Order: sequence, then C-alpha cells, then structure tokens
Amino acid sequence: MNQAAETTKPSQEIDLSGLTCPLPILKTKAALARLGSGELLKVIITNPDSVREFGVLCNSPGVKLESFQETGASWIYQIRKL
Amino acid sequence: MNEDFDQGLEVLNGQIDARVSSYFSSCVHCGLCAEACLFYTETGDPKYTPIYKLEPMRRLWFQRHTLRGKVAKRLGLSKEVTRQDFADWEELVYDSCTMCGRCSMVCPVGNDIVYMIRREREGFSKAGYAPEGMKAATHRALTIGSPMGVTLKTLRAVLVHVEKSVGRPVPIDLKGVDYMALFSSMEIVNFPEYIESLSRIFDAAGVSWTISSEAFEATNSGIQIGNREAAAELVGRVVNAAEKLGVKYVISPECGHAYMAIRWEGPNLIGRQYGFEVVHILELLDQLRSSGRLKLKDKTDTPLTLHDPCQIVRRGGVIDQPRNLLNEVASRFVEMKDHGDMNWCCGGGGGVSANDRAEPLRLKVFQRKKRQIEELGVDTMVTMCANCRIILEEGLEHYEMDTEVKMKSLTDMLAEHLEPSPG
Repeated sequence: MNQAAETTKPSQEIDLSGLTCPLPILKTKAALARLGSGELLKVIITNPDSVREFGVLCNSPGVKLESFQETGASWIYQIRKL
Repeated sequence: MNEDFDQGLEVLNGQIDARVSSYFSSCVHCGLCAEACLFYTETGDPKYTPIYKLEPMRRLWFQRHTLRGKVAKRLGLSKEVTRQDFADWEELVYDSCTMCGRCSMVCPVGNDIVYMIRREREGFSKAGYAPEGMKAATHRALTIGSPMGVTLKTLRAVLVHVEKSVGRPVPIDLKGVDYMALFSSMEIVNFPEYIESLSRIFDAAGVSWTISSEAFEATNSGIQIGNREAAAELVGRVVNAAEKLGVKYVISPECGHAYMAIRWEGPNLIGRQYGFEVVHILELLDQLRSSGRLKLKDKTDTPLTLHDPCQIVRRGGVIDQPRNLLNEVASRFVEMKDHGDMNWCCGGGGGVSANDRAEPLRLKVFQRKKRQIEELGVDTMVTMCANCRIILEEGLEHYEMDTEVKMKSLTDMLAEHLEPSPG
C-alpha cells in the first residue's frame, strides 16, 4: 500500500444530501473513478433507500469501507480506493 | 431449428411488456447488480453481470420498441439477435442465474432483473435453447407429475414407513379439512422425514390436514425453464385438487421456488384467484407457535446458523418466522454476515441444480457460502428448502471443510423439540 493509502484525511468530500436513487451511487462511483489508488472519499447521503446499495458498493473489489457513521437523517461513508 | 428459433424470438418479443420496457429504459449502467451477483463476485468475469445476461432481450427491445432502435436497425447500426446469440447466452440465462433476486434488491432504479430473466427464459425455452436436464425435468413433471419421476405409488410406499414410525395413518384425500400439504419430490425421495415431522407436529397442534392423491407435487419446472403453459398446467393441478377437497389453505413445503410458483405466480398463470389461501409451512408453524398450539421444549446448545432460501426469504418475505421458531429450540443461533433479504444463494436455485452442465460453475460459486460458514465456525446449518439442503451438502462435501457441518431441516428440528400433546 502506498503513502496515500495511509492517510485518514479524505482527498475529496461529496455531499449528496437530498439526492435520490440512482444519483448517490452514480455520483459516488464517478468520484471514485477520479481518485487515485489509496485515496479516501467521504460521502454524505440522506436517502435511506441508498443505504443497501452502498452496502454492496463498499463490499465490492477495488474499494474498502474505512468508516461508516449514521447521524440522524444522514449516513456518512469514508471509502478508500484500493 | 430455424422455425423454433423464429418462434422463440417472437415469444421473447412478446415478453417485452411495459414493465420490461421501463426497466430497460431506466437502467443507468451503474454495474451495481454485478457486485450483488454470486456468479460475478466469485468468478470476477464481467459476462456474469446480471443486466448483461439480458442482452438479447435488451437488443430486441431497443430494435422493436424504441424509435432510436428502429432507425439504428435500418441503418445497420444495431446487430440483429441471431441463433448464435441464443446459443452464446444460454449459459448466462440458465447456468449462471439462480433467479435469487439479490441483483433486484440493489438496483438503484428499482429494476426487477429476476423478473426479466424469467421472461427471457420464455423465449429461450421456446427456441429450444435450454439445458437438457431442465427440459427433461419439465417433461417428467407434465407427463408423470414430478420432475424426478415420483409417482403416487412412490409416495404411498414412503407413507407406509411414515405411518409405521408415527403410529397413525397419514390422511389422504380427506374432504373439508383445513389444510392440504404439498411436498417437493426431493422431500419424498431424499428427506421423507419431513413428512413424518409434519405429521407429528400437526397431530400435536391439532391441525386438520390432508394430502391429495391427485396433486402432491409442489415444484414447478415450468417456472424454472420459462414455459408459461407448463407452469400454468402444474399450478392448475394443485388448484383443482385443493378446490375439489374444499380445503381452506394449501401448505407450500420446504422448497424455495415451489413457494414462489404457487403463492406469487400461480394466480397470474391461471388467470384467476384461488378458492383457498397459500401458506408456507414456516408461516403456519410460526402462527401455531404464537397462538400456543405448537409447544416446543428444550433448546439445543449446538452452535448453528440459518441459511435463507432466496425464494422463501428474499422473494417470499418469510424472514422473521424461521428466526422466531429457531430461537425457540436453539440457544446458540448465530446469523451469517449477510442474512435475511440480502442472503447469498446456495448456487443451485432457479433450475441450476437440474442442470448437470452447470455443476463446475455451481461448485465454484459455492465458495461464498463456504466462507460465510467458516467465518461463524458453527457445525450445524439449518434451512427450509430441500434443494438448498442438497446443494449445500454437496458443496460442503466437495470442499472437504475442516469442520464437518451438518445440514438440518427447520421443520424436522421443530419436530424433535415437540412437546407431546396431553392426549
């Protein structure tokens, strides 16, 4: 794992509050595609229907879920691109 | 063969209704269905992406149901669907899809991909592009009454042993009772103890029930291969028998697709409502538990887990009932990491278990279930589908796991913990 992979500071943060399916997933995948290997993406979503989809996305090859937080009406994911 | 293909293509086109069209037009190509599919995650081969398995039907939809597609076809920009496409896709449509429905759960636009696979199989089956094992099973179901060739004579022979064991006759063709029980051929042949368990439980709980000599088979090969006429004929046999006996309920057994066929697809297949209700055996047993009629004693302290059959749990909604029941008889029940409506399939659903050609792929994708079991370190796995049970037993044997894992039927387990009735 390279130096960037060690960082706990997100390289990018996207606030997808208010967006509904399929936009949270599509925008997150697009953001991940732009990141370099080892970089961290912070995503904020408020659409409960997207939580299941994020569960699958975060378990897929090429990414790693570093942290997950539920704060009232929003869900915050920190996803590292491997 | 040309004629069959042409007919198959037209049948496939006929499957493209408003629902299928809206699904294709709303697909955003996110690829998330791939990550949800057992066959993609365990092989890493993108051809197993669920939406890609629908490519022949998607192309037909594009060319015949959209203006852009009609123009593209005339200009030669969109390739026609050919016999070679059917030949190439047969493996994707049948061998690498158990119709488990996990992909449908994660689609961000809500496409029911399984519904489309089911529809696509109608065209493939009509064109003759279906696995030989499934064709033979469907033929046997229609001509003999069972995909495994089980006859009434076979059932009666099994019932002799059941009656000897439980010490009382098993009711056959009793009119006016509350429940009519169905079985899968696998239960009759491989797991007849299920019939014994049912008999013991119903006797203890005071349930009035019967088996019909005219329709005891629950499975529906027509649903699996994608042959609407065959599926309707098989559902019709059960409906006619149940209505003739005047029962209030038909019990779907420990079989995944049987429940989907008789409970959800059946009324649409025969074009009318039933004169009875359909319950899954575990729905009934949990009702009996909660009403105090099913009394269970002692809890096993064996560490165990539950395998959720896709059609009963994810597609059928019977999620809490098996857990309520299992917690009554097991003190060390632990859930798998992905369980309930996001369970992973055993790999043998949707007719894959009847398809010999698919066996190497089925065993490869079984590695997911193997990892799930290893993570828990249990030595017993309980389930409520005879097909899952056989597939799991085969998979466990194939991989020669360090710890021997025993498979158990939930209904059998409940019968073992039955508190005898006072009478």
